[in-house]
Parts: sequence; structure tokens; C-alpha cells
Amino acid sequence: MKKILTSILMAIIVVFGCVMFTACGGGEPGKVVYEAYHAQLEEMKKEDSPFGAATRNNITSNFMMKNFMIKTASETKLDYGDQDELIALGLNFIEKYYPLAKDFEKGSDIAHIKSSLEKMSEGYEILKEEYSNTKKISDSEDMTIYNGFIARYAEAARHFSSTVYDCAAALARYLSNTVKVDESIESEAPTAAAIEFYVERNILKVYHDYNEFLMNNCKASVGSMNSGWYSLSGKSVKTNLSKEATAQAVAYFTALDGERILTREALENFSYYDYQIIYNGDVKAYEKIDSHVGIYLKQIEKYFNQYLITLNAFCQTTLYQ
Amino acid sequence: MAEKKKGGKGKKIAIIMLALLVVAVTVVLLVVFLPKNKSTADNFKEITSITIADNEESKADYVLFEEKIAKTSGVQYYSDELSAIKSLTNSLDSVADFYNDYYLFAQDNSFNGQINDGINQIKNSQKKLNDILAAAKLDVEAGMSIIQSTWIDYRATAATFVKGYQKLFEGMNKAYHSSLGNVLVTNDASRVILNTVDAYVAVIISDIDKLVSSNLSGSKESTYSLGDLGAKIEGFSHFVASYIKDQTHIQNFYYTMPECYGQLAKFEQTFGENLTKLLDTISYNPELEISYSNNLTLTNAQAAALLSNMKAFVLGGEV
Repeated sequence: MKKILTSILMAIIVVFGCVMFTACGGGEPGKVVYEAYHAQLEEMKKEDSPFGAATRNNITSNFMMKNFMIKTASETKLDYGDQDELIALGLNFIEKYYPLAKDFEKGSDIAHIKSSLEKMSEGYEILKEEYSNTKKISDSEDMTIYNGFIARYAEAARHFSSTVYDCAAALARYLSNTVKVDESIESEAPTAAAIEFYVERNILKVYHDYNEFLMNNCKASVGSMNSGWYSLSGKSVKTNLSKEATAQAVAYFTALDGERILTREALENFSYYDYQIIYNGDVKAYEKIDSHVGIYLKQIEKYFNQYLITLNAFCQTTLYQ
Repeated sequence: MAEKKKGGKGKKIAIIMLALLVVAVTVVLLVVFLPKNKSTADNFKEITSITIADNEESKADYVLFEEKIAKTSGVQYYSDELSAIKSLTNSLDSVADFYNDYYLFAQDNSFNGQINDGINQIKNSQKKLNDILAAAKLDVEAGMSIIQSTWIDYRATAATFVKGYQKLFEGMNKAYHSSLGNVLVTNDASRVILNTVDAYVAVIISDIDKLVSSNLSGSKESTYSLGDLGAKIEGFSHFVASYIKDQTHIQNFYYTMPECYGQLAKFEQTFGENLTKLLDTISYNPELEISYSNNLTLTNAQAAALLSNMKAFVLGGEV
């Protein structure tokens, strides 16, 4: 009995100690976050990387996928899909913002960042492997065989893209909630840095939405990203936004967060891939399996075809230059 | 003695265990074999396919009855009312469709009691309405008095039917604004628009009730009066087409942020009772002036402008 009581007491002391350690500023400082992202990005810039500096579809990035072309019957090659653009947009965000963690001295729990980086690293190794396989085939290879290699490469990119967005989202949350880069956004005089980061972390959420929709829900087989988002990536945020424009952006992005929750619920319950490929775009046929799919489809279409298009116009005219 | 006591205790434990087993088995049987209640969302979806707005057979029966009214002398004065009730059903159905697109996402089910009451009332009365017209269809030789009494029955049941929508919309309005979270489509515009729907339905029900009570034992053309019901239903129809079927105002509120919605909300909050009064009279009297106590910081000119906006709004005009 005495042993049991002693063990319980010890356990209480350990738990209490952990809580106190965290509360009193335990955890990792920003430099560790910075170094973790830095190491992974440097790894992905090495000579044998599937990435290189390039501009494609108005997106300029150090992380544009090499050799991501599909062969057509006329022997010409076409850009394969949205994987390369989405990966480039997500990694561009990480590359731009991870240095902001470097000088943040206060310690914090970064377990989520570490695990998301680990998953991205694993996804990257698979992508690299498939990329190196594509180098084994020559340009004169038969179209079916050539495209088979590219399809495997594209599938690895599809999975990798989701790890990029989880990793970028973890960084955005850390910089916003812990480092408090955009803390002043709702103050009387938000700083230029706060406005820029606030707008771009919200646009990252939009790219993340497209990634969920195109790469996961549509399995990169149907749908495409609206080109307005590609053109926006070449522009910069107006950091001298008026008070009214900033308030409008905050109100809109906040409400869009709520709408995003509904849309994610719809995406969990509706497969756009099945809708287009299996049911040939006939929602009545799909409704025979689940009577509510029509409602989920409406929410998905409203979100991507109306709300995000209107947001893009607002960004082009008001938030970006 | 001690052994006997021990034996008695064991027996008690065995009885308790047996009782627990029986309870457990009963619970399992109930869970497995009791028919599962339909979810409110499933129940709700059903009503969007049974009314004359959605169901071709019901609609055909209604049209047949309209034709019968039109060619039977002595009852033709019901034509406008039939046309108005059809238009009202279409508008109510459009509002139900609007809520149907969102209800599945509602997190809070505390309004389900009221919502289900409304749904069941709509379903039951719709069935009765269908039965009335199906019977009328079979009675090909029906004369004036039978057609009259058919319509009087139909109208009374239609009143219950519309009251079902009233319960449904009031419950849905609360669920929509309290349990979707902070989303793009819950804003000043949605509040004013959906509250106005509720007020319109209340005003229309009041007029249908007056008609029902004045025609209980049959009506004659000389004593029958549709009053403003047709005009109110037409106003409601324009309103629904402008703000519910076309959701531009609700969906784009954060971009356009029309100040007038803030003003309309202020009108509604401050002169709430006047919204019903306004709807009760404006459809046939656009020049109406309402006197109200001005306990806001509004000047008379501001208040007049506010009323003018409200008039345009409730009639489905641009705000």
C-alpha cells in the first residue's frame, strides 16, 4: 500500500513539474524552429533534388518540380497538373517566413512543427526517389511508358503536397500564436510586417483549401486551381492598407475561416472525384448512395467557385499591388 | 447460522447480477430492433419534394382544380386566391430550400423540437391537401357548391400548412444564426432578410385566418373578399426572389457592406412592431406613412429615409 501511495505521489510530482516547466517558459526557442526548417529547405535545394528555381504559370519559386511534363500523342510535352504549382506556393511561404522564428527567444512546445517536418521529410524522400526514376527514361521513350513514370512521380508529389501544407500551416500558427508576428493587426496602427504576414497566412489557407480539394478530394484527377491565384503570387501585399480595408480584410478572413469549416465537412462527406468520374457529374445518381451529397456539393461549389473567386478579386484590387 | 447468512448474501448478489443482465439484454434489444428516428435533416429534406412546388402529381391536381374553378360559374371569384396560394407555396418552398442548403451543417440541435413540429405539420397537412384535390379530381360532375366546399376545406388545411412553415422558419432562423458559427452568410443582411421572411409569413397567416373564419360555411361572391392577401403574397414572392433565391446580398455582404442593412437592422430592432405593420399595409399602399416614437438619435429626415429604404426593401427593391 505504501509503495502504491509513493508511486502515485511521484507521478503527481512529475506531472506537476511538467506543467510548471511549460508554464514557466519551457520548450524550444525560436532558433530551434528556424534551424529545423532551414535544414529541410537546404536539403531540398541540393543538386539531386526534384526541385529547381523556375517560373511557371506566373509562380516563381526555388521549389518548382523538374521534369514534371506529360507526353502527348503528338510527342509534345505538357505541364502535368497542379501539384508543382501548389508545392511551390506552399514552400515559398515557408521559405519566406521561417527566418522570423530565428530571434524569438521564449521557449514553446513545437512538437507539432517537428512531426509535420518529419512527415514532409519522409514525403520528400519518396518524391526524390520517383524523380530519380524519371531520369531513367529518355525523351524518345514510348508515350505510355514515359507517362507511367511521370504518373508515379505525380502521385508522390500529390502526397508530398499535403505534407507541405501541414508544415506551412504549423509554421503560420507558430508565428501568429507564439511569435505574434501579426498581433497588431486589429490595433489602431498595425505594422507593415503584421499586415503582410496576416494577409499572406490567410492566403496560405486558401492554397491549403485548394490542396485539400484538388490533391486529396479530387485525387489530382479532376478540377483545377483558378488562375487568378497564380497571378497573385507574383504580386506583393499593400502594407499601407487603410484602416477600413484592414478591418474589411479581418472581417472577411474571419468569416471565411467559419465557411472553411463547413467546406471541410462537405469535403469529408463528398468525393468530387467520385462525382465526376464514377457518377459522370450526375448528382441525382450520387444521391442514391447518400441523400445529402447535393448539399455538400453546393457548399463546395459555393466556396471554390464564388467565395474564393470574389476573395481573389478583393485581393487583386485592394490587398495586393 | 453464519453459513446461512453467507448463503443469503450470495443469493442476493446472484439476483442483482441477473437483474443487471436482464437490463443489459433489454437495452441491447431496444437499440438493435427499435426503428431509428429519421434525422431532422432527412425529415426536412422530405418536405422539399412533396409540395406542389416540387411534386409534379400534386401540381397537376392543383392545376386541374384551377381549371375547374375557371370554367364553373359561381366560383370563378376564387381564381385569384388559388393563384396566390400557389405562388405562396412556391415562395415558402424557396425559403425551405435556402435553409436546406445550410441545416446539415448546424451544430446546435436545441431547435430541433420546434423544427420537427413544423416539418411534421407541413407533411401531414400536405398529405391532406393532396387528398382533397385527388378526391376533387375524381368528382368530374361536381357543381358550384361542391367546388366551393372543396376550396373551403383546402383553404383551412392550407392555413395549417403555412403555419407549419412558420414554425419551421422561426426554428431554422434561430438554428441558422446560432449554430453555423461565424460564417460569411450569417451577417446583418441575413438577419434582416430572414426576420422579414418570418414577419411576412406571420402577416400572410393572419390574412388567411381571417378568410378562413369568414368563409366557414360557404361563401358567395357578394360577401367574399380576398382583401390584400394577394398583394401581400405577391410582395412576399418578390422579396423571396430578390433576397432568398438570389443570395447576392447575403453572400456578398462582407464585400459590399451596404450601410443600409445596419439601418434596416436598427429599424427592425427599434420599431420591431412596425415591421409587421409595414408589411401588413405597404403592399397595397406604398405611400404609407408610419408614426412612431423616435427614441433614437435619428433626426426626422434620417427616420424618413430609413422608412423609405425599408419600404423598398420589403417590396424586393434594390437597397
